[in-house]
Amino acid sequence: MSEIKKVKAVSMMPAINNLLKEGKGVRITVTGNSMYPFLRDKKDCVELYKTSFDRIKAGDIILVQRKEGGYVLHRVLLKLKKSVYILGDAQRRMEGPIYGNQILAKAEVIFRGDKKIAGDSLLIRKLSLLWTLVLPFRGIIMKSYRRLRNL
Amino acid sequence: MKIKEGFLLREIAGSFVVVPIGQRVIDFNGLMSLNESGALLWSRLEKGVESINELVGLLCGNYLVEEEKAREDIEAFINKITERGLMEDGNELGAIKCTADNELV
Repeated sequence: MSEIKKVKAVSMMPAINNLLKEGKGVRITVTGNSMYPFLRDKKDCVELYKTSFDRIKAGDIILVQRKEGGYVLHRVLLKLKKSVYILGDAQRRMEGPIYGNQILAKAEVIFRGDKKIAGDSLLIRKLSLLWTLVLPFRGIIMKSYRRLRNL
Repeated sequence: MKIKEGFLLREIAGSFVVVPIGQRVIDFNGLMSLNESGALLWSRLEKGVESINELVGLLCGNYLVEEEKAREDIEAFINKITERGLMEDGNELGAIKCTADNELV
């Protein structure tokens, strides 16, 4: 009659969105590999809070509702006056423009396994900037990393 | 028997989920979800019941289920939510135990 389970975040999105609007923080486990290596599928969690367009900076991880309705949690690559462009850490093609009303929340805290890290800690900022700079080589880096791991 | 304040039963995409309110951060990783009959029991327990018989009556009135089976299920359900600390300490024994534990600390 009752069970404690991992509820799929996608089906919970309307509820999550309501809670965010009420000003609550929401902790969810990340699904999908588009933010690898920073966020690992079904392993890492984020704590989301409502945000505003003005407060968003390049490098932030934000929750976006796509025009088609789907939700993604990706990193801001570029911020313009009225829109941002986002890119998953495992991706090579950016997505945008994303307008303020599509931005539902910002990941203020990241849980990598049990380790709690502020979303805008200096280390994360530096690493993600570095990861952005090597953007053209992401594919080759990931491929060699996988090969190394499989050795 | 009554469920503690501070929890809200929400229906989301066809399933019932118990959401803690009043917490700053809501953790979606360990949420309790209930099926339809669980949700029925929960909403009655939110108001409070005198005895388990009330719940048995409720379940048998709404579902084709034998009284004995219903009672078994309800007991299991109450045990589960008590374990998770969602029930108010109804009996005095529980209250005394709590005080004793506190004194030890």
